[in-house]
Amino acid sequence: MSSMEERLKECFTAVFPNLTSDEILRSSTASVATWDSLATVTLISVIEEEFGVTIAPEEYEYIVSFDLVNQCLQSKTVNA
Amino acid sequence: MKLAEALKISQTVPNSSAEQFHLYLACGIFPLHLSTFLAAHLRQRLPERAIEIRSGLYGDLPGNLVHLQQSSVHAGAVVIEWSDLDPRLGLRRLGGWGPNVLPDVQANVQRCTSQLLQLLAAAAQSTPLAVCLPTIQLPPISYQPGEQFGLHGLLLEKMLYDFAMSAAEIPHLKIVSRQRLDAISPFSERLDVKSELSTGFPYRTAHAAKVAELLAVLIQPRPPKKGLITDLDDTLWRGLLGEEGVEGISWELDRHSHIHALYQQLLLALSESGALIGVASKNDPALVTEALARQDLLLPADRLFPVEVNWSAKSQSVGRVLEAWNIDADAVVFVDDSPLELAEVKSIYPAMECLRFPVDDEQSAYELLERLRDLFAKQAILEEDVIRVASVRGGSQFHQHAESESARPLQTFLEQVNAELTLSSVPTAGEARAFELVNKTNQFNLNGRRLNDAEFQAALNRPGAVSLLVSYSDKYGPLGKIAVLLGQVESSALKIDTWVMSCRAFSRHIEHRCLEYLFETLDVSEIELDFRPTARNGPVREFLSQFMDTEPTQSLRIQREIFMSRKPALSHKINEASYV
Repeated sequence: MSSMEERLKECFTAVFPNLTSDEILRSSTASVATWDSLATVTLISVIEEEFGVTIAPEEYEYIVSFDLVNQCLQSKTVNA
Repeated sequence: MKLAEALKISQTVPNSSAEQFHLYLACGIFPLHLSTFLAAHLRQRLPERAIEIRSGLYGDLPGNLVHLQQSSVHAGAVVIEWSDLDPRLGLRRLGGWGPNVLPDVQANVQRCTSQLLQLLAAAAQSTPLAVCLPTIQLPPISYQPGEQFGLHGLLLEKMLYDFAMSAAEIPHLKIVSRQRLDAISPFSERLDVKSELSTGFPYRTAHAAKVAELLAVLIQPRPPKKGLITDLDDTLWRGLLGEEGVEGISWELDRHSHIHALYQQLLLALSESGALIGVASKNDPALVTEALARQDLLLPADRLFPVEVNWSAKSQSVGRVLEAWNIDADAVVFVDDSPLELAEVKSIYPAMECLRFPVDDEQSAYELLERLRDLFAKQAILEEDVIRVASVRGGSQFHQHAESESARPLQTFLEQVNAELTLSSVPTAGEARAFELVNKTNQFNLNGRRLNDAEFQAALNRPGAVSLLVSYSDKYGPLGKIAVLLGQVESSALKIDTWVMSCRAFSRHIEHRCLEYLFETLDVSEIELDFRPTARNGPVREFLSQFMDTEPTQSLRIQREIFMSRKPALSHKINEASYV
């Protein structure tokens, strides 16, 4: 696992403290009951603060799993 | 503090039985991360409490203040933004920014601030409040250049400050310092337009963290330090007294040592506000006496007590100062220019705040002065603060005389010092000194429990409430108000759950006299004391042991007959001042 993924996992842990490391990797809005719109906003703020990126509100609806958040982040840091 | 860290801190719960601390966050914005940061900062200040934060509806600050007033919470945090004073001053409502709306905006702000003032006054009657005035910039509503402080902006600021002036006079209400917020949160880095438009939360996370930090400081302030021990050479003055002589040391502009004059000026101000100032210096005592007699010293020598000057380890001098003051190391700040001396003192007194006077860096030295002000900051200067230095000196003489007459019992000595106690109940609206004693006394403290404003008032107003506020004086001078006791009478017993006494009042049998007075006045057959051992309340444990067959470890009861048969002879004269 890359260091970026490790840092992203830490972000998820901060927002979803009850998920195990393995569960975080498989997490999505469908599988995590507490991943609601408020959790999404909080998660995005944590990620923006951690990685110094900006995620536009129109992107929120697409980043609905750990994998998709990771892809979104990869694209922003590669393009930066 | 970063958001991830705040989430982690706020999610940790001390234990399942931890007492909750309820806070109502009243604001018109969506509280989002502000609530998280507030919970985290309060959690750090109240490590043994579980923090629960409630908030109200978006966009309805007045309604939320009404809910705050009706909620049974320990404290309220009120965050006001310009959009709460007129929606056109926010970004989510479209009411026009043209010149024709400006007079109406001003009139609306005036109306809103008047309404908020009434609501704040009503809420503060039952709940202590911390209020934050608008922190983000006004939108581009003025037609005048942004560089210009135009009449419209000035009028809005004036209305805000008029409102703040009136609010600051409301008891139990504190306002976050805009100057301090400006210093720690850059003005241009506060507004988050994306967040405001998408969620209704207008703060960048770093700004939210700072607003929450300052609110938490006002909601749960740390007890002020009680004493400062200062070094002399290159600290109270510039230069080494032993090398440069009495006239060689300096604290003046012309000799580039003015920062030491500012330090002296600050120490005098702290002393006048009730802080004890002592000296620990490796020096020649005769030379120091001569130097402290210099007329141009801004801190008169009689403000310094005790002055420990010798060639032994600094920690030994510091220890003697603590003994003379009879206060714990964690209530004291030690200032010295030498990192080595600071480390030596810190190794013996790890709880003491040891700060370096950066003699070669005026900017850092000035920051030290600001930090010292914060460490000793208090809400009001009380009568006890004014007499503290004199009473500590008097107390020192008292103990010296008591020890020199050790052949005689203490009560015989006490009979000769004209000890007088003035007893009154604590006013139901609260009393600043009583509140201060409850929240800073460690040694003679029944259980270590601290009370915030709301808890203190609740204790005074519960059914069967009993309170005792004790002042003491003897021929060595007055000590002022030195003890507070809170409890309630239930059938034939008095239950005491708060009892504190200043360490300056030890060894005078005042605690015995208080219980005797309560037994006699309330005519109760027993007194139940909610004792809990703490790391530091040995003196109260020792006192209670006199009436128990074993050392107490928990709540206990003292029967009247046992107390009367074991107490020493008591000769204090009692003055009753409106005690009911």
